[in-house]
Amino acid sequence: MSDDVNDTGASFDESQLSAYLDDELDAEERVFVEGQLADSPELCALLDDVSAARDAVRMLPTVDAPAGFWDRVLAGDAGDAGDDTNGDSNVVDLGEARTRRTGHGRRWAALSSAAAAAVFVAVVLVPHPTRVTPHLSDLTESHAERSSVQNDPVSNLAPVSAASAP
Amino acid sequence: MTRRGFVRTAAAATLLALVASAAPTAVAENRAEALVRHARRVATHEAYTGVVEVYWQDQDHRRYVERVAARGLGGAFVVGRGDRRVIGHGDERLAQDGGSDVGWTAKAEHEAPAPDAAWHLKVSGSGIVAGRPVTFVEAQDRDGRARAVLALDAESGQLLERQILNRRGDIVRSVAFVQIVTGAIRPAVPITPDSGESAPVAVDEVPNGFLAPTTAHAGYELLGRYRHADGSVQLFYSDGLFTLSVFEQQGAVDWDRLPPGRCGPIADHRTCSYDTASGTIVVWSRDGLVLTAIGDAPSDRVVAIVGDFGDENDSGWTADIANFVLGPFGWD
Repeated sequence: MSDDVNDTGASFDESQLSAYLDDELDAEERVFVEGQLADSPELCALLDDVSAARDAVRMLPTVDAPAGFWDRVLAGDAGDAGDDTNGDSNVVDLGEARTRRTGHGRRWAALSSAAAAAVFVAVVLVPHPTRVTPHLSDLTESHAERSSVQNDPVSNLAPVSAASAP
Repeated sequence: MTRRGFVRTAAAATLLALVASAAPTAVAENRAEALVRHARRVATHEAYTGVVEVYWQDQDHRRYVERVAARGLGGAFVVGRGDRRVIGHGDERLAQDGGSDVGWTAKAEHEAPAPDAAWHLKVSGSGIVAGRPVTFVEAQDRDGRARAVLALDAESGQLLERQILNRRGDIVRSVAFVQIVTGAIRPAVPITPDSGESAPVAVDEVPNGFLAPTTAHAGYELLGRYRHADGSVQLFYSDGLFTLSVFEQQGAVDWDRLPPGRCGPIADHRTCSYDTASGTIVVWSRDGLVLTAIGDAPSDRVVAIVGDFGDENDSGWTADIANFVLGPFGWD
């Protein structure tokens, strides 16, 4: 189990988040969890991860078990039980699983934070090309002056004297 | 006459007829090219004073007409009106615009192509411009369409009118003397002041990150590279008859702040172009550069350079390495 210690020193069992989402907490536990969520953005993020994972699982299609599967489960030989006739090795420690799941959630949260930081660096810190608006009138004048050295001066310079470029 | 003698006589007569028919055309072409060359020489030496009318259509087909004064004496000249004018002497230019002076000192680093290098020039007739007899020279593109008409003073050779035509043959831009006095006159022409430190500087190589192709679309050849005080680069091209500048600024185009123009893709580049009194302007971007081309040729010739400009950049260090490695093997 993974426990966090809050500011008051009281421990928080993250598995309570699943129970909270499943509405399995009594009133006192519910108030406690909501208090922890109010004080901890990290817990809120974790709650979102857990909620998203539950929704994803719920969206999976239901699959009918193969014929005879449940008979074998009841007979104790579903899976590779081996010598464990009681099937205890197939029992899943839900607490440990929740710990693993919250561990995944933390990694996802860390990755999300890293991605956000990378976007921030790309947008704010990496230099962007300077926005340039060519001053068409000045450039036209410069071209006309240079061109008037090469070609007829009047036909090159009269237009820039007559009107500015846009 | 024997049969063999008859054949020889007939062959000689045919040859003479061919030569006789071809000679006037060749002479006319040579004469047209010579007239254009001569006009450039007399432009800076003729004494004249007159009024010049400038006509143009913008990209939305709106038409404009303005008139300015022009005076020249002994290589010095002034063109403009009021406090907006350009003074020139030799290779020096100074644009005055309400107290703001912009100078230019530009020597031609490379010789320009011949006037008929990219255009077919021919004498197309004679007429009257500003009360003076002129010879018309027509510049045709490769499809035989007239795209420019020059009116050259029959006596002095000075260019009195230049018309630019679109593909349909309509005049879209012209500069023409409507009054001119020449000969034994001494018009007042101001002395060209010092152009100052802001004048562009001719450079042999452009800085890293800039393009400097030695040729551009439709026969333009690079005549000079210039560095401006703001760090931008100007490349100056000529096709023999028209000129083109490509200005390069590092950065990306701020499209929202460009004035409204004819905007759309050309050869996969986003562009905006403008038809002005001076010529056609096109703005686009590539390789981290904002490129602005300005040319006095017909509009389609100017915007066409967007397609492959800089594709064959032979001024960078990569080209130098390639030349060093491949040069001995003749793999140009």
